[in-house]
Amino acid sequence: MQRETVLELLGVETFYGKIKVLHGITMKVKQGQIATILGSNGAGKTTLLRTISGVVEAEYGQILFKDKRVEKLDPNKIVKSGISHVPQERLIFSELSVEENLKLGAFTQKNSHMTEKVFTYFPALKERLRQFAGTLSGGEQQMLAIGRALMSKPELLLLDEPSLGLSPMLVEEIFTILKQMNKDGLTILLVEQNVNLALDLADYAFVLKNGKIFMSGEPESIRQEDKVRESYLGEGKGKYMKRAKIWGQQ
Amino acid sequence: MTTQIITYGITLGCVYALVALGLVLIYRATEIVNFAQGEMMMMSAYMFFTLYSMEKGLFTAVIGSLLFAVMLGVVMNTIISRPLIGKPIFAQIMATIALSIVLRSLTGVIWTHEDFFMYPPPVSMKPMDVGFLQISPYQIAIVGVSIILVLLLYLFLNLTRFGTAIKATSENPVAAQLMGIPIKRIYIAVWILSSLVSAVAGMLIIPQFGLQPMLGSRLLLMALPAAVLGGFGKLEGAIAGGLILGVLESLATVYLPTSIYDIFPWIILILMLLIRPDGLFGTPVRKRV
Repeated sequence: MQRETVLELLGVETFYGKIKVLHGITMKVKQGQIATILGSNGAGKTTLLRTISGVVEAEYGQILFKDKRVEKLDPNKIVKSGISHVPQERLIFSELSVEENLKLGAFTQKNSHMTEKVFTYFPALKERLRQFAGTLSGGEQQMLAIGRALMSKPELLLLDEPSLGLSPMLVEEIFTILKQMNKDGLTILLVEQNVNLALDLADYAFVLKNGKIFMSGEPESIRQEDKVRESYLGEGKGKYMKRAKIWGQQ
Repeated sequence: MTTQIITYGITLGCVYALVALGLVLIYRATEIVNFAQGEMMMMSAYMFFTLYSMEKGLFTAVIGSLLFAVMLGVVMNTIISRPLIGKPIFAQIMATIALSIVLRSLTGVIWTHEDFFMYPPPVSMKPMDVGFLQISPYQIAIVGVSIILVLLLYLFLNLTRFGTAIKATSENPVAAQLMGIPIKRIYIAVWILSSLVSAVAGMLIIPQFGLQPMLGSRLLLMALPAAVLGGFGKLEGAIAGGLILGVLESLATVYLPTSIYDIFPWIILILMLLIRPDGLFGTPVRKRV
């Protein structure tokens, strides 16, 4: 199946102050894909998502969304163009009600009819509309964060570690819903610490290391790579150094 | 006698509450404590007074003053908020204090340092008997206008899309950006809103206090403790704090020696900070990381 490229990054470099976090990222995400970004802590996964959504500015390089450059736009313009970002900390507005949170998600839409659709994915939210978002459980907060991001009718959803702090059962539930959203036509770029889960879900994977794309490919080929298995899957020869190497023997 | 003192205190408290409200609005959204809030209020009040004494009519004077306040809000956003947002708190405080001094001097240059009084006041200040109270139409006007203003502000923040966006930006600007809220525009709106609320406070207080360039800092010295008393960051806290300080001040004026009552709000403030450092409505501060 020939898919069109939705998101393209060309040599994107991002700095925090004087520290370079992203060293020239070049990648493509295709229409209808679930792409995942793997990598250890501090590899720059979160920064990459923040750069795409414009909360952090890219110093160099280009970001193309549907063939239009977006790297110099304000975050609100980027949301309007069809990218929605669910941050790692979820950042729901805990002092506002669930309903207000959802309405804010649709801020860029003149009249959004997405609420019903969000409820079909997350029926639990419907019963909690009037409640303050801060009183929701962890799982419900994550559902609210994703539901809120859907309200702006995105074509591309950036998800930063949706499994963080949730029980395995809840994680499975959320991943099933993500799969359903993808079937309904949403392109997803997922950052996930749970590598096995991410590779199960994704159509394509990027491995990020020290702010560079270290490897990319189909999930199966990534799974085959020894380096990935050792570093992230806890399989293979183990992550400890081989004692034989100490004396230079192979 | 006491009921009358309390009535006077409540009217005074309304004005303090409005200025405190202006402070808190800005602080919630931008985390800047605006020490020039009093001067913003005062300059709008001067504008009102000038138009009113030119006999342009009360309505024109009010509209003129409010327009001036809008302009002042935009200017403040440009010279304070834009360069200083997110910068070290010390820089922000120095800048707003410096600006308050500049604006005060500027007021002196434009309108001289003399006292102006409003004769006759737009609303009669003669007390009438209302039930068991003795209250003047002026006092009723202050309380009435304050209630209407707070009500409007409440409805705006809670029922409109833009108002909810202001609340969201105040809670978390990054999340607000991710929702597609144009936060630069929100910041301008907040400065304008705050400037408008202060301008109304300024117009209300002229018949009582008269006008002179120290008026701004005098009111800020009441509004700041009022805001802190209410837990700096809570709108309802600012209102409660303003009313409490207004009433306590007017009681202190009568029952305490003159040398004490000027520092009275600060004594209350220190006591409050000792007993409940987060203020009446405050929740313990957790720093955002």
